[in-house]
Amino acid sequence: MPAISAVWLVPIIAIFIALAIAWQSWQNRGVVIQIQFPDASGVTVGETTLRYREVIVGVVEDVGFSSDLASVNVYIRVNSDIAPFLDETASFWIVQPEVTARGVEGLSTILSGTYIEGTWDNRIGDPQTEFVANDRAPIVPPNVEGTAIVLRSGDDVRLDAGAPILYRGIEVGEVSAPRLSPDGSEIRLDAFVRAPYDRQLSTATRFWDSSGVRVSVGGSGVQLNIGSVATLLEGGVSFDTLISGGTEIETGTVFDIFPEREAALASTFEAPALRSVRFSALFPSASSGLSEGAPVRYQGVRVGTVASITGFIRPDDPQRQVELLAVVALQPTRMGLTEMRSDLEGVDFVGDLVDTGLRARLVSTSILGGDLAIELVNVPDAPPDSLQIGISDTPIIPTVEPDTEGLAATAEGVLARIGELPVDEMIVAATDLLNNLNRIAGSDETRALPGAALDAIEQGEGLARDARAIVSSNETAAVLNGVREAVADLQAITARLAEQDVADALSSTLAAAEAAAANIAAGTEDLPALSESARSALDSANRLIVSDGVQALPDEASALLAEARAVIAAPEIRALIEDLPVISEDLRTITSELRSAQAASALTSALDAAERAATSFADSTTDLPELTASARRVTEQAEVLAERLTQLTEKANALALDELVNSTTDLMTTADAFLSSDDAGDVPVVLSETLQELRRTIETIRTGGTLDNLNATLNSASGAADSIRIAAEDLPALVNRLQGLTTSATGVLSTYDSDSRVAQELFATLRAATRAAEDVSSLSRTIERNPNSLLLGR
Amino acid sequence: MDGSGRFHALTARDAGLVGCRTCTRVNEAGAERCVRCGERLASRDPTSMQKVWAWWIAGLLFYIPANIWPMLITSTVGRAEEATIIGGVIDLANLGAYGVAFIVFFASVIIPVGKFIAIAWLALIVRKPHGHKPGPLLHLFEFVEFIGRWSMIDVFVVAILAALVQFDLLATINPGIAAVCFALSVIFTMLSAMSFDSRAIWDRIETIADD
Repeated sequence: MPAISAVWLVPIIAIFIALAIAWQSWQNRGVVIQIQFPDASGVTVGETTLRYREVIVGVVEDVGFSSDLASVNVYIRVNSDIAPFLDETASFWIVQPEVTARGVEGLSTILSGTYIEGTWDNRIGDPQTEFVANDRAPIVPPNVEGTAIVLRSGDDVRLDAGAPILYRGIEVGEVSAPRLSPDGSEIRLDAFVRAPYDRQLSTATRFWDSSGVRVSVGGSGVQLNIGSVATLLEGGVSFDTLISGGTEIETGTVFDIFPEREAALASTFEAPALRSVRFSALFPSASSGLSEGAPVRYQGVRVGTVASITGFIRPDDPQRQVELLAVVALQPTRMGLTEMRSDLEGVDFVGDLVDTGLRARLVSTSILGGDLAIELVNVPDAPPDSLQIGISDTPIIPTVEPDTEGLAATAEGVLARIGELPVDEMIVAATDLLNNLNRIAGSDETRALPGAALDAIEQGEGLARDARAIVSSNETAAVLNGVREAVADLQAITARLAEQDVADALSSTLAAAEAAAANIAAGTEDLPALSESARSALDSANRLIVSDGVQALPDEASALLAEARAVIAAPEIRALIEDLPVISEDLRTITSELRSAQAASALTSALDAAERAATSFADSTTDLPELTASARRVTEQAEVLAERLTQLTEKANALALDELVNSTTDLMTTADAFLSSDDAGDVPVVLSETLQELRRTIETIRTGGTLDNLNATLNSASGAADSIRIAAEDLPALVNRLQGLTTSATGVLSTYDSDSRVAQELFATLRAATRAAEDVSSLSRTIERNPNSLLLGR
Repeated sequence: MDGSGRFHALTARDAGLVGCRTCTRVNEAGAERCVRCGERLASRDPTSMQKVWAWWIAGLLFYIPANIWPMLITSTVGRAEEATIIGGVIDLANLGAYGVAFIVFFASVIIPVGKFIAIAWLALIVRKPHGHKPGPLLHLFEFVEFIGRWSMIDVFVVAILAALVQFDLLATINPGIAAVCFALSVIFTMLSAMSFDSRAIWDRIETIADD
């Protein structure tokens, strides 16, 4: 038996190797996973590979449909060493050539064919075998360090999936496709900022939309900002952190996208990015003027923003009434909440405030504008209510009656406040006083005085003759001295009257009255009473100046003197004659002062002022018919005041001044009678005493402050009237300024209208950009449809 | 050739001689080494059949993956195509290159399979007395030994293509695992054929003739 040949080792080794290979391939056979795709574009059985970090880790084994044909199931045999990592963190997407504004991606797939890319974390989890594919690569690239955040935009976001996030011009991340929040009120984008740039993110960071072309017109001229071509086509977001002090953010922090850089940076100083919670408030649907972005204030501090406004019908409302649902983003930490760890804490906090009377209401943001804001107010006596959860997507804060009438309300308020001023009463009092003065001047007693004086002058000659005897006596001299003093006092009174600018005050009052009358006339025409009284006042004043009484004053004086002459035959009295020119002078002074009170010119100026006031008021009222209502109310008040004026006049008629005049006249009459009596010898002594009494009385009147009071009253009335006039004058100025502002704004805007060169160039740029985008888009479509065309040149 | 019609021949062993398998010089029987070239002399190789079968089995083992696994990996513009031997033949036939297809088929399938069958048949029939004429058997053996190297034509084609067609992205041809298996299979079958001691053909005939 021959020995066994060593050659047998060869087949044995071969068999061993074959078995080893078979066993190994069985071991590494891999796991079949199922991935659900909407369609299997480019996937070929046996050829399409699954790649992880560009390394092939599996091959498509089969392609089938789901049971309802709704999707395509791709079965992939994945390497067994990879399979344990395929847990719920795994995501898959098909890599296809993609031409974007920022470059061409996945170009290799044009030659190598489509492949399926997968990403998962590097921890072994609970392995799964069924997955649903993503539309595109996740924005967080596999195992790239960085921070994922959420960007929030109110509206008009021009960001596309993959739009870059720029930090001072460097692309540091990208955003995913925008998605609508569940209630449709805002747009959210997942975004990713790569390390190490994510260190720049803090709660003080602000994002703004840096898309495309931005033209801003400001005090420094026209600014034209054009971003990169990529941002022009796809949009882009920039961010910056201007101030330190922001705290570190965590993954998923929500940032707002501001429309422009200035707004973003301005908000940096307004408030750090505090966590906001969404609430809503229901207002009557007629509340026009509330817009998205309107502020929400609480105790004067801005605590939030109106995020969206939609129509809303309460599900429990049988009348199906449409209300205005304003969704607001509140920052409870600005309302007193010390720390908010979750949204629920914020809701609870606001809920407690609502329980103690917090209500939302609409307020006007400015006097003239119709813009509204939401104000959160504490209404302590409000009917008990609470946060309504579950009616809409966000908790509803109960509302109270809106306080919104804009300009009309404010203007009315101003006028009402003016109307509440005691100006009217002052005017009434002044008018009363004027009436009283008129009455006094027009009274018979007053008129009797000049008549008597005239008589005295006429009979002065006889008096001179007869008085010579009287004046020779010492008593007469004393009397004359007393008379002289009395005259001096009278002179002082008249001088004081002149000094006190009664006439001016009168004119001011009249001006005020005229202004009031003009006010009234602007609103209504049915107040003749005041005009009537003013006219009567003027007439009275006129009558006072030209009255017969003034002219009759000398008559009475002459009568007095005649009687004095008849009585005082004593030669001592003759000395009195030498004093008579003085008396006459004084009397003349009285009349001249009365005449030269410059009432006429003052009246003219007063009327001028009134006319100015009326004109300015008329100017102001042409644009503001709302004032008519206020004016009518003022008129009504004025009517009431006119009534009270009449009453006051009547009361004043019974005043002591009247009596004083009467008693003075009586005194004169008595003195007259006394002088005409036979007991002439005793007269000088008694006359002297009487005159001294009179002087004291006059002195009392003078020093009693009556005139001062009157003067002060008239002055204040005049001041009030002037204030009204100035206020009325300011109103048209304000309107003019507004008009000027509008005109200049129109001018600025019209500079940049469609005809201007800037606009044309801008449009040309945009058209060129649009064409470029269309070209790129069509190129991308062509390549997508037919990748071979790159090579074949079709 | 005698009158009985039977083939009868005097073998070297019968004549007390032993032929050197290296330089073909005839030595005296019992000589340890060839007097001319010094090669070790043996009248018969006692392990010949073992070697034949061992190489034959090894060759057959490698012939299986050589047909299952891809022979050529053709990458054209990023798309890799793997072709087995039969697949390549079918592709060529589909392209209309019937001649080339036949040559490839002949060299890669018919020859190796024929060799396996021929070697196995030879090895089987020489184990016991047989009635076959030793001349055709010898011719068959010589033909098998001669044709064996031509099976390598396939491997050469693969080697040449892989060396020439390397245009990076446009077109690249790489040998598949089957090429190695096929080459090994051819080598093993050649070794199997070489291990066959053709003198065994005469021994059994001799036995028959002695009967």
